[in-house]
Amino acid sequence: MDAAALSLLPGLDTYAALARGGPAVPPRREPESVVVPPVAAPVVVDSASLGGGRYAALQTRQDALNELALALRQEGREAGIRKLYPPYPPEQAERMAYLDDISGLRRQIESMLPPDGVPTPSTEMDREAATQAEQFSRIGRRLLADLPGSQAISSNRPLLEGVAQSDPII
Amino acid sequence: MMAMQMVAQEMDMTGHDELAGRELEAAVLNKAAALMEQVVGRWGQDPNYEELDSALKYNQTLWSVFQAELMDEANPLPVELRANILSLSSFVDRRTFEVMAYPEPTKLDILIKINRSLADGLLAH
Repeated sequence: MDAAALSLLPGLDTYAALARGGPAVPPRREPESVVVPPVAAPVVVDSASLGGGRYAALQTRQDALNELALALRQEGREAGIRKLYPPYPPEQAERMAYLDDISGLRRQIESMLPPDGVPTPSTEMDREAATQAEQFSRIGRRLLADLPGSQAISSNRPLLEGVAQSDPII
Repeated sequence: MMAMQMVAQEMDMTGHDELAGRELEAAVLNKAAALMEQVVGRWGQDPNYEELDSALKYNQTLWSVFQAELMDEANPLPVELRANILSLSSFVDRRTFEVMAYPEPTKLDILIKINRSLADGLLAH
């Protein structure tokens, strides 16, 4: 599948555009140093050391989304609210405005909307997205298997070791 | 099984004290998958939200590492592979939000499949 074809798959091309826009392959950069957390500690890394703070930005965004998700979960458990998609009733302008005000969430929420902005039953979208993701994962497996030599996804070994050694306490 | 035991088991399977880059990534992907499988397996008897959140956040952390590197224009991996994994990471983000907000462990199945599939590819040679 080429990069152009990725844009035909709704819901799976958010980051693909970034990859498509990349320049010709430059020489590989040496990984920058990171602080490796002690064994069994939570995942703590010197986020500024990875991609000029990109990792930190992603973590911040995910923390905000997790917070929102947990709030929605609590709300649903307390009120027995039936699941909605996107995560707010479309007629509640006040709540939409509030969520839009949360930094970084607006784009994420918009990306969850179908192109015409009309909420679609979640189960159908879930199934479709899961099917596409499964196809993508098969393609990913093949592409990774075809990578030459010892090339891996990440070049930041210390960071990955930190993730490997952390224990989420389960 | 404790998470650290899972990684230790992966390392034992390679027969090396230190895993090579591909094997390390595969081990971490499989560890995240195993944590999620554990949640799914226990959910029917005793739903544990803390366990669910821990597994999701662990997986999220791993995918954040991949995302951060692959979004770098200087990343040397083939464009097709970068696009593929970034697309998957976008899906992982959404599904994680979805499951966290509206817990339904069977929805972890696809996250588990993605991790296992990529780990297989990394270990293919």
